[in-house]
Parts: sequence; structure tokens; C-alpha cells
Amino acid sequence: MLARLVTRLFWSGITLFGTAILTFVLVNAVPGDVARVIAGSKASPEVIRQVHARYHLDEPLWKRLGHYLAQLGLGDLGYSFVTDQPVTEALLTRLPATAALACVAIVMWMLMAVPLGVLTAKHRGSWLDRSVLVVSTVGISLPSFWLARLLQYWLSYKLGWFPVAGLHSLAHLLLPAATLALLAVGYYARLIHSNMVQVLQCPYVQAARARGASEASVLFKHALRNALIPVVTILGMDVAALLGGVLFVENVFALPGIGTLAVQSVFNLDVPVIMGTVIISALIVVAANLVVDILYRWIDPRIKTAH
Amino acid sequence: MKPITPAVKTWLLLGALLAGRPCPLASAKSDSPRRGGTLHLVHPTDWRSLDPAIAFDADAAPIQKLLFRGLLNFGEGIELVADQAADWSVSPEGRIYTFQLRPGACFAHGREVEAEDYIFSFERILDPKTGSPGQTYFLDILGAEQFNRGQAAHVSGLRAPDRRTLVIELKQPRFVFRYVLAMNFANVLPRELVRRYGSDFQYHLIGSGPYCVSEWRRNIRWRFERNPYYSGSDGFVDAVEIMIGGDAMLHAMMLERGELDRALAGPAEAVRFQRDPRLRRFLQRVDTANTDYLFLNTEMKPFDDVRVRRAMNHALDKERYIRLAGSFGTVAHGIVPPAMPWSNPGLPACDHDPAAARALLREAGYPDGFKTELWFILSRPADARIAAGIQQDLREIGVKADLKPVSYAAFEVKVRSRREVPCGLWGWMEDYPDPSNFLDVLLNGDRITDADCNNQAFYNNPNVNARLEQAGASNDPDERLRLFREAESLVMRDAPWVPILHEQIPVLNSPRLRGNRPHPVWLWRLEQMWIDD
Repeated sequence: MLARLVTRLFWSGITLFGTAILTFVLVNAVPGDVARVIAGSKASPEVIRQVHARYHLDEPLWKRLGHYLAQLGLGDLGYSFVTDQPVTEALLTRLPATAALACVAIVMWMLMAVPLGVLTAKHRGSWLDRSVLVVSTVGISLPSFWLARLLQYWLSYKLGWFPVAGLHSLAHLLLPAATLALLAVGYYARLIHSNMVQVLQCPYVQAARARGASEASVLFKHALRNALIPVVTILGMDVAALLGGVLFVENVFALPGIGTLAVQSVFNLDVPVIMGTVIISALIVVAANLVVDILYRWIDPRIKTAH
Repeated sequence: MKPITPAVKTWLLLGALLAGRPCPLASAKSDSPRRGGTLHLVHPTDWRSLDPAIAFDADAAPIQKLLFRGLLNFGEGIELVADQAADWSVSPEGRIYTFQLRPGACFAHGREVEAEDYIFSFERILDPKTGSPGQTYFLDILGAEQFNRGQAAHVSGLRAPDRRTLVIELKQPRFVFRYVLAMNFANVLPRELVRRYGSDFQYHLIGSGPYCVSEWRRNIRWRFERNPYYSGSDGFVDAVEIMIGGDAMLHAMMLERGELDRALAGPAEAVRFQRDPRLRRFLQRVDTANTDYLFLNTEMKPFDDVRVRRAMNHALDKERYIRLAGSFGTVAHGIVPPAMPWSNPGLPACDHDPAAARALLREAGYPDGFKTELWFILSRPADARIAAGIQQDLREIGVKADLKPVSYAAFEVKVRSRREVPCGLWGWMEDYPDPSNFLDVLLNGDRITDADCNNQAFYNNPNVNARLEQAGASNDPDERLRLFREAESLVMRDAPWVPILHEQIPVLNSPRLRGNRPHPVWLWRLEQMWIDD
């Protein structure tokens, strides 16, 4: 187990290292002079020279990359070109909003997806089953920014049921989280449905029924626990997709999270912040996969036995 | 009349909700300023800094005026008024400025403003370590260049004979220096606090303006509350709150729902407010001292031929571009914008006349037109639409223009370099209300450099340069006006630009907002707005 964990950690490190190099090269390949963006259109040549010197912009790319990686190795993500704020501080300020949004969204969609998945498995071919199938297909196809804007327009602007934007209370999170949840609920309901259908045919479920267990006990105690195991894996892998959705939804609702920071930094060509948001996102995805890998062995002891 | 019971209120509210309309924007009340309340504003992104030495964005200026003040300010128009100076005078030859500071003018931490604070603040701008984009404006002070180069410990032209007297001595007379002293760069800072915080001063902003920062969560929110030690007349609301983030569509929705008092309108929202009779009165057009133009590189073929440049001026249908840009702007006929009182309304308009343009091209030896590249900044949507319009118009006279949308960073480097960009779209907004800020900065051939050149047309006419030099050295307003007008006429005859439009900024105001008059320099003055609930 320890050897496997060390191997996974090693490859996680390589993935993050590769992400950092690739992003640095791509961001710095953008033509033009970042110093002009930093100092503004009306800055004098002398000020531009000072900006070049301060941010080592005159040095060759490989040298700047080496400098950046050495800094990164010490856990220093540098300073924002635009605000001079330490990038780590900027990310840490934004992380709670993004984490809160993601957590509320996951809770929402699981609270909806589990009962729907169980019920549609129990009543296969019913109108509910077919409806969830349609919702699942539509949900996967919808762009998050479009759904976010639509819900915002109708539920906040027209009907006033939710705040339009910002983050001052939990109420401000409900609609953005609901947007992410609506996009995922159908897919997860179908996933649980498929697993439940398989599990319900297993001998141990039939044995439970034969022992006279109630239908609720059969469904939720015996079948659901096993049907949820593959869902945990998918959830871990979906963290990347969730971050993508968060990026758009945060921007539509002006939530002060990593997503809005990423978009602002791209518009400002704020290279250290772009790098920081990409690296933190990569770190979250890698960590989520690692956690799922470890959890999986705990949830499903058969895997531990197989190894 | 019976009171409305809670149950009836609930049904009325439900009815309003089911009617599917946002809460209606109510109508206006009083016109006399009232104190109190909170002004709710929004800005899409946080400012790089509000530190007077660092900030140079047009949209940061009204916010800075909440926090900081200096010796001079602009009145209702472009006239200079004493702000935290009780009295000021300029020596007859225009080289020595003397200011008596107003007693009782205090910083937000309670200490009175002293002349030494001004000397410290100006030297801080000139210190290269500060990295201030305003350095060049203060290099006219005697000894400033030596200080800037590290050859002197202090600027010899800055003196404080006593606590409340400041003397500024220039190297040579320079009329526009008085406007420099009204710019935000010239705001005064408490020297002991700036020394204590160093480059972190931007996190501890304290000035002598009507408000001070009570909360700042970077990229999330600003809140300003009254400076208890401010003794001036500005500042009606108790607090100003600025939400950071969101786009123009979101801001319009928030404003309509009563969550904001003022927001910039995007093109789509501006058109929606313009067309809806219920919303139209909440849309304000703010004229800016700005000129958007197509520059023609006079050092590159075929624009080295004045006939080709004149043909370009006749080919473009500017009225159409204003419609393409959302109908927020006025047609430009000259270089200096009409929002600046020094502009020349007598300049002849160059009519849209494709036939005349074709004739000029034939005369210049291009009967079948030519091919060129039209550069513009990708992130400016209005420019993309105008560029497409120009491309169409040029096709009418046989000129094939390939559109070249590029990033801001790339554009800035290329257009400022010699013989790189044949023509492109650009705009300039005044830093201070003087024609030299357009003509001298953008079209003086004596200032052409191989790189980092503001004169994107690389236009060089010795007659124009001479007039600009003369006007720069003159202290006589009438003579300056004559010289600038002559220079502008010569430029228009040589046609290195096609002036396209003078921008108007569409702004949405809540019905409870008052005192929101546009200002020719600051665009608007938040410290003079009030809430009428």
C-alpha cells in the first residue's frame, strides 16, 4: 500500500511539474510586451524599462522558467503583475468561495441524484425513468454559462427569489450551486440507476429479500451502498469538469472565487496569477484522484484483497 | 383609507413576481443635496492600485478623488480652483509657483497637511524605485532630473519656507504644469505613514480627501467611510461601497433590482435602456475628452503620399461607425475633442465622398487601389465592429484591407515601433485639459523615436513641430490657442489620421442617485453625488 502511495505521489508530482512547464511556455508565448500591460499605455519608456528590470522580462524564456520553477519548488507562486499581491494570498482568499460553491453543488446534486437513481432503478421503464434519461441527456449537453445566465435572469432578475450576484450569505450560493447541480444531477442519477439495476440482480440482494428484509432496507442498505462505489470514482474524476463549470458559473454570478480570478488574470495578462490558478486547479484534480484512489480501497475491500 | 394588511402585501408581492417584471425603477424626488446613506457601485475588476503615485487609469480617478486631495482641482468645468491651497500664485514669467496651504486640511489619521508632505509626495513620484507612471510630468521641476537619476538627495526646485508655504520652481516656464498639479499624481500623502509602510502603502491608503478606506477585500469589495478630519465641502453620502466583479449585463440587472446605484452600461444594455421608454431616463451619456482615430503610418507606403491619406479620410463613413459602436459617440472632425474648450469648432469637416477618394487614389498612382493591413485590439469589441466597417468602405474605393486583430500587449509594441504597422485603430483620452496633451504628445515629429513612440503615424511636419514648441513655452493663453489651432489645421491638411469619433460613455443611474453631473476631466465626481430615498 505504501509503495503504491509513493508511486502515485511521484506521478502526481510529475503531472504538476509538466503542467507548470507547459502553462509557463504557453502563457509566455503570447506576443507583445507584458510591461505595457502592467504600466499602462501612457507610461514613459523609462517606466517600461523599470518594469522590465523588476520582473526580469528581458531575460530569455528558459532562464525565466528556471527561476519560476526554483521559486515554485519553495512553494512561492510569485507576485501578481497587476496588483503586486502574493499569488498564494490571492488564491487562498478566493479558495473558500470556490470550495463552498463546489461543496454545496455536490451536496445538492447527490441529494437529488441518489433518490432519483434508486427510484428509476426500482421503476424501470416508468415515466420517471424516461424523464430522468431526458434530463440527463439535456444536462450533459447544456453549457454551464448559458444555464447560469438563464436561471439568473428568471429566478433572480425577473422573480427576485435569489440575489442577482455577489457573495454575502449562503443565499448567494444557492443559485450558482443549483446551476452546477442541475447540469450533473441527470448524469449521476443515470449512473446510480445503472449500478442499482445490476446490484439488484445480485444474489445477496435476493438473499436479503428472502430473509424478509423490507424493500427500503434492500434498496438503501444492501443495494445502494454497493451501487455507490463506482460513483465515488467518477466523482473524483469529475472534479476537473466541476472546476471548469465553476469557472463559468462564478463569473456569471460574480462570485469571488478561483474562477473569476482566472478569467481576470487572463484578461490582464497577469502571468503569475494565470500560472497560479492553473497550478492550483491541477493540484486539486491530482489530489482528488489520489484521495479517491485511497478511499476506494477503504470503501471496497475487494480491491485491497485483489492486490 | 384602509391600511394594507400583511396578507394583502403578500398577494401584491406575489402578483408582482408572477407578472415577471423586476421591481420598477421609481421616480425622482428632490434636487437639493442630502447627507447620509450608502452609495452602491460596481467595477468589473479591481484597480491595480489607488495609490496616487501608481494609478493611471481613467476609471480609477473618480475613486481616488474620494480618498486623496492636492493643491488644485478642477471646478465645474476645466477651470482650476484651489483645493487644499488657501491661495496660490505664479510668477510673471511662469516659472515659480507659490502655494499657501489651507489651515485645517487634515489627513484621515488626524494630522494637518504640511508643505513637507507635498515635497515628499512629489519626490516619491520622481523616485524610480516607486515605479510611478507619472514621473515625466514632474521632470519640469528644477533639479527633478538629477534627483530622478540619483544625482541629488532632494529636488532643488521644491521648497517649504514654512509649514504652510510650498514653493515650486520650474526649469523653464511651462503653462501646463498647473494642470499637472490638479492631476491625481499630485495628491498629498502623509510622509510618516508612507515611510512606515513603504511599498505596502497601497494596503494602508490614507489621504486628505473626504473619505477613507474602511474595508478592502482585494478583487471582492471596497468600502469607504467619511474621513472624520475632512474640513472641505465634498462628500454627501456616509459610505461608498464598491462590489468588484461581474459583467455589464449583470450590473444592469443588479441596478434594475435596486442592488446598485450606478454602473457602466455595455453596448447591449445601453441599447436596451435607450429603446425602453421606462428605462431611458436612467441612461446617461457622458462625453469624454477622447478621440478615436485611424492612424496612417506616414513612413510606410502608400501612406507616405498625402493624397492617399486624404483619400482615406474621404472613404470612411464615420456616422455608420458610430451606429456600429452602439450610437455612443459623436463624429470627430479634428484631433482635439470638443469636450475640451480649446478644441476648434471651425475645422472643416471632411465629408464621406467615395468618388473624391477614388479620384485622389488615381492621382496618387493607385487607380486599382492597394492592399494594406488594418490593426486593432482584439479585446475592444467596438474597434472590431468599426474595423469591419472601415474594411467595407475601403473595398468601395478598391483598397483591400486585411483585418489584423491582436492582443493589447502585441499592439502596444508594434504600433509604437517604426515601420511596423501601416494603419490601425487607436484612441486617446486627455490626461489634463490642454491641446498639447493631444497634439504635442501624439503628433510632434520632434518626439519620434524608433521604439516606444506615441506618434503612431510617425508624422513629422517641421511647421507643426515649431508651433507646438512655441505654444509649449508660451504663458499667454490667447497665443497658445492660436498656435494650437494653426498646428491642428496643418495636421488635418496633412491627414496622418482619420479622426473617427469622440466617445460617449453610457452610464446607468438608479432613480435615487442625485448629483451625477458629468465632469470634463474626472468624468464624474462621486464625492458630489447623494442619495435621495
